[in-house]
Amino acid sequence: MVFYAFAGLNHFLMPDFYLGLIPDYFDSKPTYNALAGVGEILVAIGLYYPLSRKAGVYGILFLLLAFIPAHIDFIRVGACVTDSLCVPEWVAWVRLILIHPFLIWWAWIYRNYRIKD
Amino acid sequence: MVDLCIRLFVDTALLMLIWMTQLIVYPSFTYLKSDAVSKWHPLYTKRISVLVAPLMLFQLFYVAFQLFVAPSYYQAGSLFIVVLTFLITFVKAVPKHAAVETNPNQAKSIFQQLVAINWQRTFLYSALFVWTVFELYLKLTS
Repeated sequence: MVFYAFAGLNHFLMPDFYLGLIPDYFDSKPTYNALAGVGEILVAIGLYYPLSRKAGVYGILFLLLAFIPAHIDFIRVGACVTDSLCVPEWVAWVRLILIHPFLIWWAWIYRNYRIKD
Repeated sequence: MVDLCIRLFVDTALLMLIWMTQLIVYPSFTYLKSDAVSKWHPLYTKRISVLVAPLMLFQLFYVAFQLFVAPSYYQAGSLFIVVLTFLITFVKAVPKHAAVETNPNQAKSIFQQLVAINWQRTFLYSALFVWTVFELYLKLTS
């Protein structure tokens, strides 16, 4: 929850970092960046309250699926975007093939998670 | 143009399969007695997998490949929909099929649940097909 709240806020604190990672075929990069930021903040709020936790998990799944094209595009451009993020290409592949599916699986198994009183 | 024709072929094939499953196959299971379900269902899942699995995998890898070589909003949206259909298939539908094998006596209610789950995939495959046809139309008229 804290991770998604910080990640969401970061879209507004460091927009240039994220704008570089949004594929060029998206017309309005600032709009998509704001949507992703708001989405992550809403997901964090959703996870906080037991009643909305399941909706929060579905929100995470939606965001993770929506981010896949950006991860593919990051590999396509050589895993390096000026003034944004530069990593070895294999790291970007591991992120796409292993870490991303793991995050999806992790979110899914916690959809019915209840904090015990 | 060739890439869109390939997409149209695979999207159409999956569209036909999902609507046939939804309107004919799953409802027919609700009319079978439990002993018939326990005999036929394992064969059905094996045979339908031979048809569906290669198509689904091809669609996934082809859309991902297109996103590398010819990225566009259409390809990105397609990948989103395709991955969503994979999630619904393996996270929601496959466990229900496993439940039919272990509880053939409750097959009727499980297949009613499968029909409900399958409407999600039916909608997604239909949307994907319409989007591909629209992209093809744009290409042909531009």
